[in-house]
Amino acid sequence: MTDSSDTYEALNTQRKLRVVSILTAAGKAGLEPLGLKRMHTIAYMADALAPVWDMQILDAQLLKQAGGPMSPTLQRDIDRLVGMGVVIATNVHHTLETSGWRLSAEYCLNQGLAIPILNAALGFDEHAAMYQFVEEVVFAVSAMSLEAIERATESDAAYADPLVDVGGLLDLVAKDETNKTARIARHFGDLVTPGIRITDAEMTHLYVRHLFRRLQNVA
Amino acid sequence: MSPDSEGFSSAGWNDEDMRRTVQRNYGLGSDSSLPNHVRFLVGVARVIRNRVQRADAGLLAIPAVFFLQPSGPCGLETLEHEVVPMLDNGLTQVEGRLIFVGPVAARAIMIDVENWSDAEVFGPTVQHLGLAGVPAVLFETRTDPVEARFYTKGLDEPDTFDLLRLSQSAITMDEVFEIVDRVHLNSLVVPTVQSPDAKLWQHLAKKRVSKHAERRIQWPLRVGLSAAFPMCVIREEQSQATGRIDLEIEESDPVDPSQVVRHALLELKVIRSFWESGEAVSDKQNANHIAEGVVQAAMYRDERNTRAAALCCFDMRSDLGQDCFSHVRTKAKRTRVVLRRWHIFASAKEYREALDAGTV
Repeated sequence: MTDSSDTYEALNTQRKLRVVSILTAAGKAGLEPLGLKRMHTIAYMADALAPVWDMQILDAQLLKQAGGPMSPTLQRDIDRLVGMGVVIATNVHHTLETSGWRLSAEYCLNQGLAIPILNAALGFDEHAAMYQFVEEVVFAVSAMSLEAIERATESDAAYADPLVDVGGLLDLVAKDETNKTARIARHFGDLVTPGIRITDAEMTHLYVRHLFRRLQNVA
Repeated sequence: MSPDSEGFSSAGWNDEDMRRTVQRNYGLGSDSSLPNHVRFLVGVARVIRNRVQRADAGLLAIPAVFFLQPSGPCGLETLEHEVVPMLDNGLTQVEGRLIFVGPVAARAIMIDVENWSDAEVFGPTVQHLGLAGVPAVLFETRTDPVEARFYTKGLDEPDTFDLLRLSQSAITMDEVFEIVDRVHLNSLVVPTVQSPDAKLWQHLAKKRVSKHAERRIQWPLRVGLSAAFPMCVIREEQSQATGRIDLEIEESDPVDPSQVVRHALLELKVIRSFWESGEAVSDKQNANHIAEGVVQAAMYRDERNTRAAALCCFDMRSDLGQDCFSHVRTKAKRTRVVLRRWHIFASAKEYREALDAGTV
């Protein structure tokens, strides 16, 4: 096996683990079953906030869509896990989007298969760190109403960037710069009482709470 | 780099607005990585603090119960219930309700309890809803001041609870040491109570101490202090000019949560007979380590305007009889650093012998 296929496999594993992590954390936060749109929004938020935690962005480039993020690669990850029986899809139905009809569903974990996978993964520092990061993003997002979660990217610093048109490419690692969402999240660290160094998790929660306030103000 | 300087301000990302978010939500996420039941306590304490602060018409004199069960009770679909986001902003009435939350207590499923009766809630309601054994916090609003009780084993064991510390009064070092005593006994004193993932001894028989011992002691202390003082943020490894603080207990001002009171800081030092490599540690090396700790604790406290500072020494030496503070007592008194020592044994047998001999 070549180095590149090793890397591909590692990334593939990480992608699937991210789905399992999101659904595990969603269960802990009372968000299960997780609708398709919420799943994609949370995965996007995790990517946008990944630099705050020094984590890898898994879907760095995506097409900006009017209805919010919808990553075909993430959907493939989810579908594969459904096929493997690790994720259970319920309430499968069609929804009409601006781009046409889309198959939609709600997802939860098949605990019997998912828990051993997650437990094995948590034995590795790299995966444990990713799990903690994803869990915190889900916990932060869980404070929002379900409707607000689906609309979160309307006010997100990177996704709602007026310089990127709908239909344009949103690049979370463009020109090796940290994306706007992560930059703003980090900036919360400058706004607390001097002498206090807040954690990555605190920046994440503050960013999401601010996002929620912005959405409420718009509403 | 300030978002203001990048032109984000026009899109609503300005510092003034963001500061308001900090002011309302300071401390959120600071409990990340703590065990779920501790996060639950911290989260519920936040809800209670904000509810007490923001209940404009006053609190209803009907208790509330928070359950660590985010999916709600058995048969939820047949019960009238409400799902509430941002429970922790204090604006939602919790009194007279059963509230089901996850570890961060931000999103909740709520069920009204008509004609509240303690006997009914603790008995048939818990059984009927399948809540036996589910960790719960009772928010008691019929007392003055209000109280909160944590039922670790669920409401079906009504006599097993811890009273949560809700008051904003100063935390004394005696209160802190009481918690350290408990953590020491439950998680540190002998190898069998230590976490298998964070052993303090590298080699038990040879009395070699892990080079990570101080860091590994810090973790259960942070968990213990967070559970005991859920209204506070327990910070670790805060950097500043004079060095890095091991643990600090801070508490938000109830009116402006972004303003904090720093109650106490703890400098942790481990003294030992052997390094991890097996090389012996001299008395002078241990003495210097302790002396350094006194200086650090005093400096950190003064620099951060913390109310109190302590040097917590964890003594893993073979010879229990030795005093470890004699050379620093005068200085510690002059600089107002409180000194305290806890022994950590390489075996339960050694611990028993020390108890029998009265040396601990």
